[in-house]
Amino acid sequence: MDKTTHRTGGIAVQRRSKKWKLVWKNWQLYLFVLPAFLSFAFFSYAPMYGVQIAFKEYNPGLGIWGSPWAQPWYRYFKLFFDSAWFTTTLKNTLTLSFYMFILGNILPLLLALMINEAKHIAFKKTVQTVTYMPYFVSTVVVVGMINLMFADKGVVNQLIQMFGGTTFQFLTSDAAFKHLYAWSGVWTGTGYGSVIYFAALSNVSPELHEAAIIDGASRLQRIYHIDIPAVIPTFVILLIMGAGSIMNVSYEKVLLMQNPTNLMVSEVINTYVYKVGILHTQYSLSSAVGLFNNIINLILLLIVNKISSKVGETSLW
Amino acid sequence: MKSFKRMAAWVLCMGLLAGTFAGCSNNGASSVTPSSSETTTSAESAESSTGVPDYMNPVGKFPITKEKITVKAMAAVNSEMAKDWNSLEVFQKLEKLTNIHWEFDYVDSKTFLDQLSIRMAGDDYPEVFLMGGMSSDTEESYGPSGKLLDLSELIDKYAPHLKKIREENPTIKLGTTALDGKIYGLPYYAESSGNVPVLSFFDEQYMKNAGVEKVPETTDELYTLLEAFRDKDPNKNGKKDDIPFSCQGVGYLRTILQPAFQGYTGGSAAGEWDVDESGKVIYLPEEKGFKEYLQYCHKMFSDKLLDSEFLTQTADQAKAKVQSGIVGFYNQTPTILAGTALEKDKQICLPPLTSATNDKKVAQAPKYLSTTNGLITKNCKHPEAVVSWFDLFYRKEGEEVEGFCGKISLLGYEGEQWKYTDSSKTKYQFIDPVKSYIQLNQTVMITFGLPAYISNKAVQVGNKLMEDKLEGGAKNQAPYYKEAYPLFVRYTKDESTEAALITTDLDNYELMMEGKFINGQESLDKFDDFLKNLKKYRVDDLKKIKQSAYDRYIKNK
Amino acid sequence: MTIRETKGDKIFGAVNAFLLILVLIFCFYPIWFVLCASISNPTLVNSGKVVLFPQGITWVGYQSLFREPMVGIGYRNTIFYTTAGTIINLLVTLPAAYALSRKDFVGRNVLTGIFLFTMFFNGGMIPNYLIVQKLHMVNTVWAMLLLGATSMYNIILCRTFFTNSIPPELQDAAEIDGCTNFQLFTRIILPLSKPIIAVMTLFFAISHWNSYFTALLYITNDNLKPLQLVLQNILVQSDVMTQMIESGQLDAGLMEESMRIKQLIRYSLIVTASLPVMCLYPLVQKYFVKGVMIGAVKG
Repeated sequence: MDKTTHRTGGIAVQRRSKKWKLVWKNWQLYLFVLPAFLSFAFFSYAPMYGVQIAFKEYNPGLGIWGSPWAQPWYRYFKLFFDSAWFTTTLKNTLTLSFYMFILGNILPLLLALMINEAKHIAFKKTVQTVTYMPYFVSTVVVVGMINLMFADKGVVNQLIQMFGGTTFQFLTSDAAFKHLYAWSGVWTGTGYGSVIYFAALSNVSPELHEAAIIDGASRLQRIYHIDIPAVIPTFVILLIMGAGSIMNVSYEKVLLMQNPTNLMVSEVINTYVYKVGILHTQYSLSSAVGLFNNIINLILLLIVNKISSKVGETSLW
Repeated sequence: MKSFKRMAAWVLCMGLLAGTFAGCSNNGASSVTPSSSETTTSAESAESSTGVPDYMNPVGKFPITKEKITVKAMAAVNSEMAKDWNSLEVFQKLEKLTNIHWEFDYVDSKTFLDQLSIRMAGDDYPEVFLMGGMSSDTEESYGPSGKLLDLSELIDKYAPHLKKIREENPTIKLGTTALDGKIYGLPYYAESSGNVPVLSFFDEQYMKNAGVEKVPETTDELYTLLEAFRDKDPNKNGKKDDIPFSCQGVGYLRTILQPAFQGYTGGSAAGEWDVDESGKVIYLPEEKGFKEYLQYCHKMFSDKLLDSEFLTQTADQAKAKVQSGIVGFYNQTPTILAGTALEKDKQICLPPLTSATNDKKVAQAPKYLSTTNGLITKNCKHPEAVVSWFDLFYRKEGEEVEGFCGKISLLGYEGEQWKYTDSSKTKYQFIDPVKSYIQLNQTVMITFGLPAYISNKAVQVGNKLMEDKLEGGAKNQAPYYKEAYPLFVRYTKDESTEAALITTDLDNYELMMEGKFINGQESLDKFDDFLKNLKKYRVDDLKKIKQSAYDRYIKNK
Repeated sequence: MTIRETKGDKIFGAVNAFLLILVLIFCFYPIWFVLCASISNPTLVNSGKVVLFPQGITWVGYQSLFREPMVGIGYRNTIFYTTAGTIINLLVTLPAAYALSRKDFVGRNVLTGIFLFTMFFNGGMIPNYLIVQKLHMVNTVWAMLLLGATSMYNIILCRTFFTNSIPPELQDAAEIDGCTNFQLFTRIILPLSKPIIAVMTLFFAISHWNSYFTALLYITNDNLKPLQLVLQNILVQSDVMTQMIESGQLDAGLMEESMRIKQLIRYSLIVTASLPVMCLYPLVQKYFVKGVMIGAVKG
């Protein structure tokens, strides 16, 4: 994207003046971007000075500017890294997140492709609508349902016994936790996540499909050669953005699903920090942990973006 | 590479721009603006010869102020309360009595603390904060910097009843004294007969059906009764579906069984922290009897005497089981049985038990105190009058003025909303249409925690299940109350973050192991490894911190 | 000309339909459960007795919900916030995304970087509040409409659509015709972007409809409260009461009736709050029409 060269000053000047010409020609585009720019300036950048809290001994009585700097500045980061549960919470956060990352990127695409292939419009629309409904069920209710269904005497165990198996204690099992967490997330999120792909698929011209059928292509081949290239850019972008929120495991759902016996696999960074802050609000510590999470997110995003720009055409920039 | 540099430069510029913009705006907010709070404080206001400021009448005389004044308070509300507090009977009567009018800024209690921190970030905060989940944390955050008023002198001069209560009751005095020795919070203290902490109840008829005559007093006797519950079909429905002992989580086992083996109540009362007779802070898993407690619970679990879902069921699920009659020992209040088949049976409260490792009967003491239900800020225009007003709520029965004392804020006026049903004043009853003090919140008074001192020894009659509960509490628990590691110990800023981190680390591990030992996922042969691991989780460091905090705390006695 | 299906395609179609039916059941069951639970006796629900059909039918949950006068106000406000807010969102997001998709837009990468940065770094509650306060937006409709007027996530989704679905020849053709960027955008690009506009409308509308935390912090005036805030207020017990129950000061039995109703309300709340939005989807589905692009270039 580099528009200037260093070969001769003359060409450089030419390129630069060409750029200013573009700026002048496209002045309206700057207006297009202005509202968003102002929104970010006021609501994201102006308050950003609050990030300092992570590096200070924040005292609410003295305010953000009046609070003294932490000695040393990385004190709260160090406290967090030194804590006994740091490695465990980091491992659990990443495990749950990667699991959801894979499921959450592939399954919506798969669902969109499958619905796209359905013949009857009514059936298609019904599936679309029904799969998108679970998104609106609140977390508390979802976890409540899990507790009821997977209880020792719940529906799932009853089914298992009907088929001759023995009761399995899902809710206290370390091994089952991540599956329950991830697949309940699939329940609620896949339908909603598939919506964006319908927009991408709508660009596929039916004529292409007709031509392919005449050439003798099977449905699978048509999907592979026509539909998939149409959705790849969206898929890649979502992948990159997803990498940028790996650390954001919601504490609410995990907290509700935790019980004493599964802590080794269920304690994630955000639930841990939440518990630390219960007795005495830990402003500086939670700010430091939040910053840590965000920096990791940013790094992952940049890495995945770099890989993607090397491998294909789609990337953030 | 070049575009990256350029981008970095842009971001830097944006950051600086934003910083300056925000910096200017914030400096404006934090600069001292001459406000009315600078004009009169108790030190500066002219005092009459009686020692009170000019605008007030002498202490003890009403109205409190000569002219009507208005006080602005931010108050935490919820959906159970009347929309306008000033429409409540008590507030109207008090306004006539005292000449003080309150202007309330209602904030949903869910967001109260957030709103408080937002207001305190600037200069325009209200004169008084009420309820909303404030704690000693709030006091320590804003007190030392001067945003909250030090109430020590004010209480001394204008709140004789609060002063007396603080002297009489060490818990209140210690709990409301801040780290710097000052007093910032107005406490809420409710010693009500209805305040019975977590208990274990069972149905008397079930016991008889199971063929047992005597209420258990030792852990062995309890075990026998539990086995009888399991085998003898006490609910007489022909099915072997009875759960002898059900509860929700490890916490209830700690409340009911752990003290039987260790003689300390800190298990559930203070997260396993307690203090021995010599004043030394101890961590209960390291003390005698803990292994036996785990063994007992594990045996219960494997013998199917303990609900196999005790670790995973929600409170609602546990309650539903009890209400459907299949549970022997339950830990909810008996009043949830209203409308079920067990309603008519007598519900018995399990007394504290003794065991082979412990012969002291101890029960978890109730929590009567909430330290910070009212705060007065630097912006208060008439702090002397406000403190006087609050003092009304610290009057005990017998010290009423125009029928008002602290107890009114829980029950309402005697003769209007409630009355004694016997001459010895041991029992009381609500007067129709009032059925419980929750209804009072719509018409009479906010009963949920305005700063007050409430002492109500009488037992509420008229609800049989409630009577069972209160009788059980009075007979089988109250004589054995024992305090654990005090709840209101304050940590300094340095201690606080470290303590919070170690506590979370340690508790996570200990709780997990306790659960696993009990349900068998971990064998009790590994108990010694468990004790060794506690050291790895820095239990000794935390003990040191808690010891010095405790020593500092009791020094204020 | 009819297209005959090969046997392989027929099998594919059948398997596909079968799998979709399984997915349908998998996704529908939780919804069905919520519907049943909202009219069932709470004790039976908690005992796991409500599996396929409601038990102990009671309408108390819905009755309590609609008896609250605030619910009507909440609905009214949320409809307003959703409509106005979504329009504002679209006006801010679509032009910005289009500009960023233009390769000849100088500074495009820098701006993308600046915007992206905001997804990762946040100043925290108090600084955010102070800015909103400085702008005199606290406790006004603007707090609900302008905060979150856009997000980089959505801008990027739109930008991806513009980059991949709009043929660059369109821009060249427009320039030859003497169109300004503005005319190009409004007369040519937007009409071709119906699918992404439909998707964005859906996302923004749902986000506004579910908005809770913004309102919790910034709106204290009852008249301005959105639906979710009103509903959660009805539902959630105050912390003081929970504390008092746990510490024994307040007897849970006295609260028993209201706690049962609250559980019913929790389920009926999902139904009443989500029904309108669930119905929104079928309305926008018709914009996911194939082949919208095709005529454009030829024309």
